[in-house]
Amino acid sequence: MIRIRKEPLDLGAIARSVEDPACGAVATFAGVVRNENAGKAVERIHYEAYEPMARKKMAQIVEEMKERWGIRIVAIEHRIGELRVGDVSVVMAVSSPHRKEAFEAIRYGMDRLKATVPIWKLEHFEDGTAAWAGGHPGQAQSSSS
Amino acid sequence: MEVRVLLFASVRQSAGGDEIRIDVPDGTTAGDLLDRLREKIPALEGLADRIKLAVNEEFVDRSYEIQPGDETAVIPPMSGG
Repeated sequence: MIRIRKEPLDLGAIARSVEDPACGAVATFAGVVRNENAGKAVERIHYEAYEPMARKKMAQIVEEMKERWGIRIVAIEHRIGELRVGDVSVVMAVSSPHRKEAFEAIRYGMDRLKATVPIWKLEHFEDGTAAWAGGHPGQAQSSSS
Repeated sequence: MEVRVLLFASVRQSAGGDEIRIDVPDGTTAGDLLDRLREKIPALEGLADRIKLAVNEEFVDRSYEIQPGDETAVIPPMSGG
């Protein structure tokens, strides 16, 4: 199950969605908005996505995980819109017969997500400045523009 | 041919809109398209070769030849997750 949504993510429901009687291991990862980045206090984060392509790239990652590690089921959900410190931005859950593959696949899956899925975050700092993560040059405008 | 280009993040803000339509000759490559867009959108200058182009929801090389009806998107450095 792959989803991009504005509503808060339900880690428990997502973990339950990958359960399978043949799988002894369920591994989950949650990305959480941190209160600082590069020494600056974060107030809030705006996430946006090229949604159809993001879903497509996530589906490709799921296939890669299944092929390389024999993972049975993968769920990936990413939240977009305005998030606060402590909010969960992304959840990935996998199930496999044994834990070794689950751990390795989920690590790979998150690395691939960060490298290939067209989603962007605009960090708003408590000092009033804002910056698109990943080194976009220039002073960013607020996310309402 | 008219090409539709979707814009995101800092590029979207720099252009003042989430889409731009631009007329290009047949045979225009992804690289050519980005050069043309650089003239119109200041943020692309600072991003240089860290920009990728996607066509019909797949990343393409600079040498890819744009076809009529292609949906293109400028992909600046990503930060999902």
